[in-house]
Amino acid sequence: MSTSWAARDRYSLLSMAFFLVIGALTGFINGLLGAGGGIVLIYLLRYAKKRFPHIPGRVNYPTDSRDVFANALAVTLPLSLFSATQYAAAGRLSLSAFSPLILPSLLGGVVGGWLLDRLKLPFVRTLFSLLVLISGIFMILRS
Amino acid sequence: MIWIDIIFTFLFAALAGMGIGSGGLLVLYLTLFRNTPQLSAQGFNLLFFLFASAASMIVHLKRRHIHLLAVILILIAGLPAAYLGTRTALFLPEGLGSKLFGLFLIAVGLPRLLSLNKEKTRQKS
Repeated sequence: MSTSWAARDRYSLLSMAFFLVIGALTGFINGLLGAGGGIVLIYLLRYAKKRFPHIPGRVNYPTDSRDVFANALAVTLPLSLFSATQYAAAGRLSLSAFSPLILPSLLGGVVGGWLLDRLKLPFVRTLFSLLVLISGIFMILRS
Repeated sequence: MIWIDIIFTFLFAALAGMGIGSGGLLVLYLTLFRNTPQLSAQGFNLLFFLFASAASMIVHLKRRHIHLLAVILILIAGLPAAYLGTRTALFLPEGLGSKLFGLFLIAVGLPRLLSLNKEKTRQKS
């Protein structure tokens, strides 16, 4: 019984360390390129899901593919908020110019969250791969 | 023209809200079709993403399993790393990082897209 608890704690530390490494990579890419952290995070969480599907302990991996997308968003939101503070400090954010697009952004976000549960997973995956490809082309073109 | 902006923003926000990202599509649209300067477009893209993802999180928190501890751990390392990344970007030749990462994304995305299509064809036959 005690061995099982010891093993559980060790695995918890392992999974915690793994998430810290994932965070460092995601954050660094996002800071370095101003984008792309979310994509890296989705691939790393998917890898974790496949590689360590049953690690017990206090930190669990998102095991459902839709959960991976939702959890990635939960991370990229504060990361983007951090980037926004840097943009704002440099005077590069204009909320008043953006104001006509606030409502469609909010509504689109809610619809997207609703759609994630309703669209078939292979379609969501194809859409994601397509967007990865578009991001790749876009990053080469803009640099 | 504002209606077209609203429709496109709504569509891109729906993609962002699904958690699969928007692929910088808003920046592309604003710079290519609306002649918005690149830096302003990036600022708009950032604001758009903040509003869209915050709104969608309300749905995700209700419907999906958000692993709060995992998210916190990722952010504990992610936020200082993001700062470090921003500082490092100042020392890199302009555009080099984006170009390399763009190639990486194409190298990862294209085979995945092709394998997904193959899977679909196999399932149909």
